Amino acid sequence: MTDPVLSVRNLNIHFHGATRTTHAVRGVSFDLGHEKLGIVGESGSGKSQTGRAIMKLSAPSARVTADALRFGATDLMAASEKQMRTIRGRDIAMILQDPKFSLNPLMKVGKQIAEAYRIHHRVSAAEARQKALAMLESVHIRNPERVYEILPHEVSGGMGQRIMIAMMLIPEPKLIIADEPTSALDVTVRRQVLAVLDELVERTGASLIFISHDLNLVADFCDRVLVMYAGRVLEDLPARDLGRAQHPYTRALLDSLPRLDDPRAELAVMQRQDSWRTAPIGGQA
Amino acid sequence: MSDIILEARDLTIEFGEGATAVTAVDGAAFKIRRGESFGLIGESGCGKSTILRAVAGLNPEYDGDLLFDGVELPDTRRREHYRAMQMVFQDPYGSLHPRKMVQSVLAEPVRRMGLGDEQRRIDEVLRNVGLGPEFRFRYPHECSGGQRQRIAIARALIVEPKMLLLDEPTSALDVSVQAEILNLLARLRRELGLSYLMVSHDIAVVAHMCDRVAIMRHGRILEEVGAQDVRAGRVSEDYTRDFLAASAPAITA
Repeated sequence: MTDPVLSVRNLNIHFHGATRTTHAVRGVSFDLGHEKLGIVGESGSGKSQTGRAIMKLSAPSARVTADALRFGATDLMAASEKQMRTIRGRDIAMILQDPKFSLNPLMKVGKQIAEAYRIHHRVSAAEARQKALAMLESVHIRNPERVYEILPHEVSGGMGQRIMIAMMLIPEPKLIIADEPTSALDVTVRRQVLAVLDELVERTGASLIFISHDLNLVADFCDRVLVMYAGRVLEDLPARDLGRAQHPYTRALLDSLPRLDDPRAELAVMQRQDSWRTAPIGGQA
Repeated sequence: MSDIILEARDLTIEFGEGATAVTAVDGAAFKIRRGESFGLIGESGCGKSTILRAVAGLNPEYDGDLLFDGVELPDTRRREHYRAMQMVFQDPYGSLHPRKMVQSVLAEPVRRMGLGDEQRRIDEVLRNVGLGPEFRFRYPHECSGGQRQRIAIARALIVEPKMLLLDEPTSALDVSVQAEILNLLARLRRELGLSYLMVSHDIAVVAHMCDRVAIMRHGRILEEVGAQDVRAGRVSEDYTRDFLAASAPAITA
């Protein structure tokens, strides 16, 4: 791989509480090229914390350490808050789970999209409006002129998430971190939103980190998958090989899914093993 | 005793009045046999949860008939109806009182129904859902998501219902925990002879759990298919086919 877009080496995140310290992310390393990388795992596996650490949006109580956290030529570990403010949005964008909570409820959606553009580009309001309208059209919203003028409570979940995508992609970021972007959506709408995201990622040549608990979705949508458990990356494999994953944890996750093509009386229940937390991980740099 | 435990005839539910009225459920009809597990599936807003709430008596404003054990359910449900049909909600974080210990969560329905023999029932139901007696003295925040859902199921089971109304019981859980809860529900149905009415948007879960599935859209039941037919893709409506295609698993071993 030539010049990774993002390079993470030995990322650790600790949360210091009054009585105990939680080691949420333990020595995560990966390189990201021009690809769609999925991160899967259960709740509490550290997948979202990893995404947040890249944006330097970890909670104040978190202590983040890494041997390297490089975005292109920028050392994110050394970047000041001021530098991060120009990087966030312009270079690295984040799409969150629920558009209901991540859009400003008192501001017209078009204005929010235009604002995202104007913060990073010196353009007139009229120009930003044109750009926002074009962006709404590119996320397949019919009648962008009308949608520009409405408030977030007037849009459906699927449309809200497309608006979020428009807003996050308008500054043309090089890296997009999508944290469970479709978990709040219906299966049929999910397809549309993913198609829109895929199309824009292809067109702008951005890299994508796709955080999800849905193995099927990740296998379908991403190029490569990291499987996380208890803060560590257990497996790093091409998405199309997910069905042939080796690690017992990944296998157990796959087996616990009810399947349409393979009916069974009883679903396999995962027997967790301590060695998954501690054993050295094969194939990991 | 009739063979049909629950029947809906031309069930129509509207919200609002006049020009702003919304028909959430439009002439739904289905029959659930004793001991059967029946699934309702569809997108958000298709009316599947509204049906469940009407059956549970949480939404008394409906047209058409709901028959339980061959007898029409009255607008104001009596205690025996609440006892016979118990609901398990989607979000175990929201459906348990944060300041009540498991012991009092489980004791309340026993007292409300005047069943007596409180402690024996609590111990038994906890054992039944796979939790140790030490859980009696825990608060919900001291339990994981899967444990909370087990407690919610225990709360429904403690009054010995004939039927469980399951509103997306595993959609807030991880897949590994989902498997445990689905296994638990399947075992309880077998051992206690319960009937299930289950709502979900995950067709794989419904096909796993239910004998028959009704696909809903815009408040209408489009078609009713057996679990075997769902698996084989033997459906007649285009929408069902789209729905199946959208839920098809991408992972092939």
